[in-house]
Amino acid sequence: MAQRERPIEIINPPNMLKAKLGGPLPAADDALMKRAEAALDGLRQNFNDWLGEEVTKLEGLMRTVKTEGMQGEAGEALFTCAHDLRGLGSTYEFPIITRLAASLSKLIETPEQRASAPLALIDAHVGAIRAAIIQNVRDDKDPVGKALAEELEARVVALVGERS
Amino acid sequence: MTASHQPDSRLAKLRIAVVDDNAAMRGIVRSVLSAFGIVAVYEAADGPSALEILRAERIDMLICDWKMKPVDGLTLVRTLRDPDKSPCPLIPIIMLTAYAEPSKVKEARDAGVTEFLVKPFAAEDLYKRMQTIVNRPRPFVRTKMFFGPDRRRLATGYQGPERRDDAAPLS
Repeated sequence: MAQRERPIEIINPPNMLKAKLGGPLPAADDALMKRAEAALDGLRQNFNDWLGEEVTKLEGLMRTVKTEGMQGEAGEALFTCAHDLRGLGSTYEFPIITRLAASLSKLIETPEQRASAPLALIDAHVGAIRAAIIQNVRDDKDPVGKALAEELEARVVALVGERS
Repeated sequence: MTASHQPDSRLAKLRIAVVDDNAAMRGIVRSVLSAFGIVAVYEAADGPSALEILRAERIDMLICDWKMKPVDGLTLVRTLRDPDKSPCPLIPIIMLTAYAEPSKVKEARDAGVTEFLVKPFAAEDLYKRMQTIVNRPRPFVRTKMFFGPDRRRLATGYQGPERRDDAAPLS
């Protein structure tokens, strides 16, 4: 077990937030969560456009790395875009894009990985993400989408291993 | 940076800053916070803009992305936890990021993040993080190498009434 750094000063600041709110926050109730759902519903009509913009950006960066290579800013920008899509895919109701983008992010996260990652495998991820939108494949209930995601993930794991 | 105003509730008293380089994600977080009844939501697209807000306003809580340019979220957290540089070294920080690996959670915790939430996030999970921050705040720890929330607290997930707070004293 790791030893704690010493000396240690423990500070217990007054709970200003609890005082400001007049007491503890109660557990979330159904009405509150329904209000949050309704708020997201109001944005839902934009989700396809927003996702499309992100994927177009990803494709543009893919074109750039094909000419400039994966090292340097272009490769990092591609990783950042894939990482963003990992967070946004499910939000925009395409969980399979979150899955595919997570696999791509794992493949190209560090400069060392980017230096050796096969361009064809990176491109296959980008193509799969675009195909998911075109075919409206939203999750891995679609057998083709599931098989594609599993194949890409397996190839990435074979190259970079399981990371935690 | 912008502030929005929504109908009153108890949470309406909270002032929250959201830092994310993705405008759509900021909008989504803002919508959820507004649904919670939070009156003042300040947005920033990067670390320096966030620091400007934190210097100018009394912000109660920060929701912060990790992967940003020119300063990433982790660097922003470290700056905020530096008592010599920070306008608010004790501010509760929720790291909202697409990173989900345990190593990343540990890295964020070691930088001084208060709570960690993975994108895509559910509104209920964001609320629970806020509830934990309000109801069970971590003590702060200062060592030669670290200043931030105590990293040892066990996450029990308990969300019920705080009986110890209103328990009758033993006679």
